[in-house]
Amino acid sequence: MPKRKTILGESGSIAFLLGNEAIARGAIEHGIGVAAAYPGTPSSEIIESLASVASDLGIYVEWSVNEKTAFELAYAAAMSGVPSLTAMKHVGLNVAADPLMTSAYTGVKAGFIIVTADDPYMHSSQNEQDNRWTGLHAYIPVLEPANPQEAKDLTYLGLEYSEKLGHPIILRSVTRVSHARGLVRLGPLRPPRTVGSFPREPQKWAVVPAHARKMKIDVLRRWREIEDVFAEFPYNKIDDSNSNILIVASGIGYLYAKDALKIVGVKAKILKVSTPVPLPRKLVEKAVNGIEKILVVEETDPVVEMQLKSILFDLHIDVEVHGADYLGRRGELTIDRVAEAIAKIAGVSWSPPKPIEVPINVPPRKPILCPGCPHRATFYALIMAARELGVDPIYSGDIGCYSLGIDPPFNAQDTITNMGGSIGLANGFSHTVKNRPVVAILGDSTFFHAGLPPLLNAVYNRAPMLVLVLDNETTAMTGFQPHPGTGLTAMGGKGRKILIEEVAKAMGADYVDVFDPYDVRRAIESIKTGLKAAMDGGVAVLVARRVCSLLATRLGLARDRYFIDSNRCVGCSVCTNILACPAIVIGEGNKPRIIESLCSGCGVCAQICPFQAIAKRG
Amino acid sequence: MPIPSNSKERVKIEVVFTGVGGQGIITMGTILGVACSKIGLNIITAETHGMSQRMGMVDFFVRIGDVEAPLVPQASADIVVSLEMIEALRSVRHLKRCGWLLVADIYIPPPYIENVPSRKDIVNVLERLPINSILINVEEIVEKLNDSRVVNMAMLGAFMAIEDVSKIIPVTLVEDVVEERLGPINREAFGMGYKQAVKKIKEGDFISRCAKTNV
Repeated sequence: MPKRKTILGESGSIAFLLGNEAIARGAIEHGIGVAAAYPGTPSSEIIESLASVASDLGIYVEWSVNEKTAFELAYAAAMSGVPSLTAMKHVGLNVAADPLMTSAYTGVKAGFIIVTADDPYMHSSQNEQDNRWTGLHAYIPVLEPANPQEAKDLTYLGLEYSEKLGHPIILRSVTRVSHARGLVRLGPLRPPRTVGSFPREPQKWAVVPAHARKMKIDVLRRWREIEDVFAEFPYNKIDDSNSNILIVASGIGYLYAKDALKIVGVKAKILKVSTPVPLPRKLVEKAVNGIEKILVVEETDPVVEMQLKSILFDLHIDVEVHGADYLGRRGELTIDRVAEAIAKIAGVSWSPPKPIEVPINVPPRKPILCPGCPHRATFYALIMAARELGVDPIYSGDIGCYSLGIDPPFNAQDTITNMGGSIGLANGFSHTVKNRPVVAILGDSTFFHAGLPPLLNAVYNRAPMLVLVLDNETTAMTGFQPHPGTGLTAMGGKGRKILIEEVAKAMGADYVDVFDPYDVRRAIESIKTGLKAAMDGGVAVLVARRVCSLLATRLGLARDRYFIDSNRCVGCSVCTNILACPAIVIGEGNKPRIIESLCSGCGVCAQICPFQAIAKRG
Repeated sequence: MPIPSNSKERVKIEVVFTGVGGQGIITMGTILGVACSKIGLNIITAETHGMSQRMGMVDFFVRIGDVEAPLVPQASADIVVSLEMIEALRSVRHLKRCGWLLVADIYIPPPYIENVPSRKDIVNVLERLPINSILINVEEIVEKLNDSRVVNMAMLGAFMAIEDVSKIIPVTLVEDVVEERLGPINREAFGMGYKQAVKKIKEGDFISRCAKTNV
């Protein structure tokens, strides 16, 4: 059964859904007309799922060039009376922070849900920020589902409440909700609302100071109203138990608490919180009656804990409150972590079972650039070009598969901070570090997302640098989403294809070139020319263009296979130590051999072998 | 299909699937989940996406029955299924004492790293641990079917040979879901993995230091 059919399953049936698919389903059940996002783990499957059924439903879904653009598009839809969704990973919400902060002031006409998929433990992210803070900061309420079923239900309800309150709502998911799969009972589908209207009403939508000052008064009034409305929110509940211990558990924390209580064998009253921001005062008041100790279980930061303590203080209730002090404020919760905290607060002794020890060193297996990855070829050429010129560049890196260039043998990412930060930081280095050229390294999707303004800045303000755009013609790291350089849209239509080199030329870059990284000699020469241009005070933009090897394999484009002729191979290790392709391993007699089932046939190893020992099969 | 009476009992099975990014581990969990959805048996899984897929280590947690949260607690898994031999060693930390470890005989040494244990080292180590481990000859199945992409379904078949699992999730049900989603070759691989594991368990053709260490 294909995925799209599962998402459109019949009301009342039970489907096995990924949390993100469940979010998409909840939005469809409400009848959203518009959805937009920029991909980012762990959020990407929401828009992917919606895009796969957009044509069937007649709704509009797009991959926007960045989160701010996506936010603004969905925000305008909700302003015009069309319910909408925008989704992003936690750090993506920072990119959209500007319109987000003001959206609470103007409010919306139709339901508007902003999904933030947070990534505790940073499985695939640069920090583990807890975006429930953003809700507090922006006066935007936050809903927090515990599992895929609630992910669907709270998306639906969030849109309903948003429309009723005329206010945007944030849905905060975490990796283990977005990327958990579970049984989800589907609800009825409402027909989508796709067409809106927008009467002229600038006093409501234009935040010039005179309007905004009035709006702020309204925001504060709505905020108090929201707190009361949330006290009755159906997914907040009190699990009563005859105990003087109260566990206040937000989102997925509730599940860990329930399992942990069973494991430790402790009874406690549980306040399940699905609306961590704002934490409803009336609900807290009801839950703390007769309680002596409280444990707050929430993933990442003490957002509920701090609000709870503040409410207790206002109510003159003096109870012992624990949370971040027992559970820590980093990484993911686990049943064991929560069980230890529960044991501690209950004063019982419990420790998790000890793992079986393995009496041998198990080697680490970190993510690496795939076999045939064009980025590997580009990194090789980059290192060789710098070596041939005798320079030691600063490698200003960025967010994407190519972040893996940080590892040996390349060691070619000195900084990685945020999307577009490669060119952004290079602007700074080029003015302060005079004895080393600066190379900004970013991917195609990242270039369109956040590379354009800092590149323009570099050209305009004369910040010499080499910008190396690793164009694999897709957004590979998040699962092959299209972007402006691909000329495809999320819904499978034809978009306008934008060429990176044309953009760079139009922006006034001093030197622009395109090369195929699989052509190793040509790549090295191109990078050398680019480096020289940067060292002469110019801004050089090079596009290393070659489709992602995983995508090439999927599309049936990778057909060749290579092998190593053991008679010619002298075991010099250039292929394993300088190229480090995972398809080449050291075999018997310390000579390398190619695992042909992994080889994607790029032929780069054959070009760099000093003894011409590597050849195409057949 | 009506919900069988056993789903009312308090069953709890904790499983970890491990391997290398790209081996199709998420598909194994999805098949199992769809099968559970058909008999109304609770299942929750947690999976790895994004950069970790790029030939890195992958852990996929599956919890079935009377459970709430998605992650398997430390040293609590009843069964670990590993699609790669080195990852099998690493995944022993998830396994409880006397749990079952099913290992595919696929060996993918991580590149650019020294002192990687050999196949023989791995089997030697497994022989010394207080667990039950079965080595499944997946390479043989791959060769017979002439398709290297069936490793995951062969191992899912082997997993279904564990009685605690098949008594709550009917093997034929899973087999049908495999065919419906992935076609007849995968059904065949599933069946071959299942039969091989059943035979090995029946004939005692597996490593077990469990009885001795458990006394």
